[in-house]
Amino acid sequence: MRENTVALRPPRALWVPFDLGRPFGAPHEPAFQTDVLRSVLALLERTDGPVILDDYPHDAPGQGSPEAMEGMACPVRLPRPSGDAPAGRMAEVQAEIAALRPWHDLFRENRGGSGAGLSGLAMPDAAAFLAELRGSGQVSSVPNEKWGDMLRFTAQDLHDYYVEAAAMRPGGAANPVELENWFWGETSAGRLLLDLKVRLVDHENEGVRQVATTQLVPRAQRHRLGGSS
Amino acid sequence: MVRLSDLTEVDAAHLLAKECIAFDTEPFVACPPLADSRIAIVTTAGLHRRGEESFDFRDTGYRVIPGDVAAGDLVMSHSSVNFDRSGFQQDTNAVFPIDRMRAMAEAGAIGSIAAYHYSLMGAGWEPHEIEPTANEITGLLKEDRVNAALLVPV
Repeated sequence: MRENTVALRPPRALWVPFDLGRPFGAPHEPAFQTDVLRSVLALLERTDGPVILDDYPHDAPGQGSPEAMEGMACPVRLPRPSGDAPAGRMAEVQAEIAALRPWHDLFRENRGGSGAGLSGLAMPDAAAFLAELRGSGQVSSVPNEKWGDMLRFTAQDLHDYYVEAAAMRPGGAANPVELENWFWGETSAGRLLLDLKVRLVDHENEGVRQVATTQLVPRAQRHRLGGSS
Repeated sequence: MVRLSDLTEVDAAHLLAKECIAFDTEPFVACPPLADSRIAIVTTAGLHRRGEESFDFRDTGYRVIPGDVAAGDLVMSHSSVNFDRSGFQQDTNAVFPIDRMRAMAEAGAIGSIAAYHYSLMGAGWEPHEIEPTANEITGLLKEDRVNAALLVPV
């Protein structure tokens, strides 16, 4: 944030008003990305230090515009998650994974690969790991000391698989806020991760407890946990 | 970086509470013209090549990104879930502008691109804990004759 940069007083910095996680503005906007890059590199030729903090003057393409907030976030209309009861949740998640697969395959073809896959598991198996940990509190096929890492990676894989599939929406991906609200608010996978946070936050395994506490559910989505966040 | 007003109240409060060290010095130096600069990217986005060891929760290490890496071969294992990853998922250059930098080098707008870039995981540790890593990367950059570094947070 600009406030932190002002406090740190680096020799040269370009503040940009883009969403966190998008320092060059937006995907597939090469001209815009190049303009941001030229603007920050231009600071190297300035000599009016010792502290130069410039503000980039433009919002990213589509950022916060009404058009970006309209319509479905996803190309597939998934069934609404069933209530708060976890029974049947796994079947719902596996059905969602299958429904999204053609769009995720398309994403992989277009991008030349997928960022999902940190766990090394196929998506149905990643979801099965999460379900097993949620159900019995342990996973016999994975060493105890790896449970925390595997929880983080399978949860991230699941989230990223959905978001990558959703990015293939005709007309282009929805903006980050809409994508996150869709995943956490409208999918059974999002509901599964919310369930997991509540169930695992007091888990006996320190790694699992740590991940459940801070790395499963974004702060901006924890209101969905009700009073149990 | 982002506008404070674009964040939720809880996210804004969390980020404003971050420790911002007051440094004793102001290490401002004049740089060569861009056309003579050899530039490396140093990112805290937790990027690495697909198949390489992921960053763990409090990882103070770094990963080397070869200068000729294909943008699509990079993945992100940053431990925070509190920023957007969908932009990077769709286009690496939204975070790591390697293709844009290559275009600038080919056009002569910058001198050259480093043989190696460096990635860290910018969460889970206090600023002083990363200093040894920063010093090590600085040495590597000097060996690569880099005279300008583009630091890219997420």
